[in-house]
Amino acid sequence: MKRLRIIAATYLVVLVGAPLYLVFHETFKSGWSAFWSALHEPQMLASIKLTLLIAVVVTPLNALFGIGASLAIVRHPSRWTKALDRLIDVPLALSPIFVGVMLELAYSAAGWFGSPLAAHGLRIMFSWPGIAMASAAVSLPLVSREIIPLLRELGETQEQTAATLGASARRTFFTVTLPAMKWAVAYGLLLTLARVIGEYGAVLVVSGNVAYQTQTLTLDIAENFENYNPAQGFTGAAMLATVSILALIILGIIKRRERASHEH
Amino acid sequence: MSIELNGINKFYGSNQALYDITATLPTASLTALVGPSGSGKSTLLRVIAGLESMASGRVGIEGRDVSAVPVRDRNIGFCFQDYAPFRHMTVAQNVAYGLRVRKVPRAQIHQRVGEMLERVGLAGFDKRYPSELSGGQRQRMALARALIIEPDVLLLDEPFAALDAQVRGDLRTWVRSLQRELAITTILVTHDQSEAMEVADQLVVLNAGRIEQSGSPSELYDEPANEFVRGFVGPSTSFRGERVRPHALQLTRGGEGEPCAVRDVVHLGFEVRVVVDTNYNGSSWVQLTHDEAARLQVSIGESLTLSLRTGRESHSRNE
Repeated sequence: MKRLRIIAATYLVVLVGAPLYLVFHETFKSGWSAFWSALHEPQMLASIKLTLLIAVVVTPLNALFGIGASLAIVRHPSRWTKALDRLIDVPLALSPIFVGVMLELAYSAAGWFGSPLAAHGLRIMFSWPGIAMASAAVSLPLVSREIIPLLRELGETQEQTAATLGASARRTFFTVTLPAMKWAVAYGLLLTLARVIGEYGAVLVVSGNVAYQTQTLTLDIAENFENYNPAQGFTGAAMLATVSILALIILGIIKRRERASHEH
Repeated sequence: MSIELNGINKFYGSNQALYDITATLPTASLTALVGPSGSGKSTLLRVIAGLESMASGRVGIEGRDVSAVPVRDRNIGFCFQDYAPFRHMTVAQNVAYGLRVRKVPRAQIHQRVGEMLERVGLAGFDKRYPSELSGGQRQRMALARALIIEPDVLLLDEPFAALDAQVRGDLRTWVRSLQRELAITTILVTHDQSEAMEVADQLVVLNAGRIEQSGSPSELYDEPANEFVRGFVGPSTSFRGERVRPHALQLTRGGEGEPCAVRDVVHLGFEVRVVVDTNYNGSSWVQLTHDEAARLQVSIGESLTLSLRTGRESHSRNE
C-alpha cells in the first residue's frame, strides 16, 4: 500500500506538480511588478478580453442547451432524443482540431452554410462568432452529462406531485426541477467555463489567429513561445493555471454542497 | 365524491395494460386496488389521476367527466410510494405548495398549514427538511400536502410498502380513521391482500389488466368469483378435489369424513395449522383455533378424520 502511494505521488509530481511549480516560479522570478506589466502588455490584454467575451457568450448558451437537452432525453424519451443522447457526446470523442476543421468547412465564406451568410455580410470564420461556435461545440455535453444522471435518480414523482397540486409545467420546472438540480447545473457550467477558456485546437483552426482581433489567450501564449518570448508566455500560462485551480476549488465546494443537499 | 370508471383500455406500445375497466366507487368509500405486480393496479390509479393517458374509456368524478381534464385541474390528492418529498423545501413549504399554487393569501396559508400539520401529528416539525423525518413522518407529510388542497378524491400508490412492519400497522389504522373522519373518497393500491382486507370497504382485484372481481372483503373471501380471487384474497386448501378455506375444515377423532394422517402441526399464536395427508388427493391443511387444537390434543403421525364444518361450508372469515 505504502509503496503504491509513493509511486502514485511520484507520478503526479513528475507529470504535473513540478512543472506547475516551475511555471509559477518562472512567472514571478522577476517579481510582481514584472508580472504586472506583462499582464498589461496590450496584445495579452486584447486576447484576455476576447477569451472572456467568448466565455460570457458560450457558457449561458450551453447551459440552456444542456438543461433543455437533458430534460428532453430523460423526461420525454423518443427515437429523436435517443439519437441526441448518443450524438451529444461526439464532440468529446473527436479531436478539437477536427471540430475546428469541420466548422471551417461548413462556415467559411465558401462553405455550405457560410456562403449564404457571407452574402448577407455575416462573417463567421476568422471572427468571434466562429471562435464561439468552436468553443461551444467542444464543451457541448459538459452540462447535460452532469444533469442527466441526476434527473434519472430524482425520478418523476416530485414533478408529478407538483402537477397533481395544480402547478403548471413552467412552475414545476422553476420550483421543483431546477432547485433540485441547481448544483449539478453549477458544476456543469464551471466545467464548461474552464473548457472554453482553455480550448486551443478548435479555436486555432477557426480563428485565423490574428493578434488584437481573433487571438484568444491560449493562442497568444503559444505565439509568445514560438517567438522566443517565454516570459510573456509564462505570464499567460500562469493566468490560465490560476483560473483552472480556482475552478477546481469551486468545483470541490459545489460537490460538497451537492452532497449536503442530497442529505436534505 | 363517487368515482365512475367506464370501459377503460390502456396500451403501452402494443402491450395492453388495462382491458375494459368498469367500476363504481361510492362517495366517501375506501377502495383497494389489489393484484400481483404487473396486474395494472398502479397504471389504473395513474389513469384516474390523469398521469397516464388512456386509449378509450371514461373517468368520472361525481358525474363529471374528467377524462380530458389535465392532471393539474383534476383536484385530486395523490401520494406516491416514495412520498416524493420536495427535498429542498421544509415540511411547511412542502405542505403549503398546493395553496401557494392556488394563490391563497399568505396569512391563510400559514394558518391552514399549521392546522394540517397538527392534524397529521407533525406539529413542531414545520422547519425540518424531509431528510430529517422518519419514513412514517414523510408519509404523513405527503398526506398533509395532498389533503390541504381539499381534493375531491385521494389516491394512494402503495402507501405503506416502504415502511417497516410496526409503523405500517399503526399508519394503516391511522389512515383508515383519517379517511373516515374526512369522508373523502379514497383509492389505495396495494399488492398485499391482508392490508387491503384490513383497511378497505371495497376491493377491486386486478389480474393481467382485467378486473377479476370487485366487492366487499367478506364477499370476496366467502364467494370468490374464480380460483384466482380465491387464491389471492386468502389461503385455500383442497378437500375432496374442491378448493376450500382452511377454516372451513375440521378434524375429529372418528365420525364422518375423510381419514387422514397428521403430517405437521404449526403453532401461529392464536391459530394452529395442521397439515394432513389424505388418501383422496394428497395433502391438505386445516386452520384450528388454539383452543380447538388443545381440545383435540393433535400430534404428528396420528390418524384423524377430516370433514367440512357443518352449516358453514366455505363461508368463514375468522382470521
